[in-house]
Amino acid sequence: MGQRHSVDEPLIERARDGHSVAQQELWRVHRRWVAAIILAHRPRSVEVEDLLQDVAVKFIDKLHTLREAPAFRPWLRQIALNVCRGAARSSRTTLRLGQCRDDGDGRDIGTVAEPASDEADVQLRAEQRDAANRLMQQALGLPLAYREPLLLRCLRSMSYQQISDVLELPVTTVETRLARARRMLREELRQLDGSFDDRTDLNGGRTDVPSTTE
Amino acid sequence: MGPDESETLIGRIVDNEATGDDRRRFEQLADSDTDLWRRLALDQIDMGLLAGRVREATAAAEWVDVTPAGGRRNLALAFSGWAAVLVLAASWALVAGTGDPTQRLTTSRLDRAAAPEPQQVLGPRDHLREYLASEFVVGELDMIVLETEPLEPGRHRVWYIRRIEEVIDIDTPLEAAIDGVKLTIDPAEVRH
Repeated sequence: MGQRHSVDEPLIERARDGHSVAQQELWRVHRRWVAAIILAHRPRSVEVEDLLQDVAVKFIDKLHTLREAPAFRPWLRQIALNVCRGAARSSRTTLRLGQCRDDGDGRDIGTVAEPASDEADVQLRAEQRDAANRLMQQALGLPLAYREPLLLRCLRSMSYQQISDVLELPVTTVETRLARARRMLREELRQLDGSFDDRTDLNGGRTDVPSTTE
Repeated sequence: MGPDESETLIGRIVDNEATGDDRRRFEQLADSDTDLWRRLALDQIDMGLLAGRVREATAAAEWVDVTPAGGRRNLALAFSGWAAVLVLAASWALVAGTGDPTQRLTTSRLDRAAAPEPQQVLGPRDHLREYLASEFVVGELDMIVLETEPLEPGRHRVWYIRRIEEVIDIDTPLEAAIDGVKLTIDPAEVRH
């Protein structure tokens, strides 16, 4: 495993010692990728925000148990995984009781109100949103080993090295999994579309490019 | 680098992890296989769209803060806006209405009312949910987009207005309370 980098050890140690400002700052620095971990692991009927709040509570509650500052990221990820597992158990119970609020066949990936302006803009945005939602759906359907690094990578702040720290994997493994995740996404989309490349481009026109020769 | 070399290079470029050598090697490969440029563009588009979607799905993280352990004095940090007023109002009501002669009991009740669990975390959604449940809130209208700004492929910043309809009964003459379609009085003051 590679050496861990980019962990603010003094901040972690101050937070572990009970400094409230350090605790708040440490949480703010890391909460976004924790949300991505939750997104990768959560049961479909539970909101990311709700689980993240649970993680926040446990983060404060258990911070004093962190032994080594360099192990902070995997430690925090484990808390997120435990919260997701707990939610999954509750979710299964709810499902058995027939009270699950998600009655769809996929994950609730959320929708955002479509801002309206002129017709062409609306159409373009709708197409982009459709494409983004479809990609998200496919990404969430990937095997966990690929889904998790891919979602982490989607956060601009996460480098290969940082992802490897969180997942406790060598950087080369992270890179390989990301490449495979992208390949799987392409293949899934190609199967869905029939012709993967016959897509509307982001500039509003058709790409009209020849099919891939991969 | 093996048979997946081009795929690895594309991945590094898309992820902004490519070195100068990686970029030069990619250009070298693309000289003999121009389709690589198209694959790079498509991967960039896909990752841009997916990244935008993931950021949306994790945006709530920016609003979830922690309240440090044992920090009852810090609870005020976890409350803001009118939600804080709600807590204070509940506290006041308990103090005023208890009728209990013992200050100790009153204090105890006040503590329970004013202070949720020590590590309670409140997000804007919690505040908004409470607000929307208020008796003077009629409902929410469609949001209005003011302006959009492209940030990067697949990501935009959107300025918008949330419109929440409220209702209020007033005793003052309408001319004093309304100017055209603009309400000129403070509803909170009137309700108070």
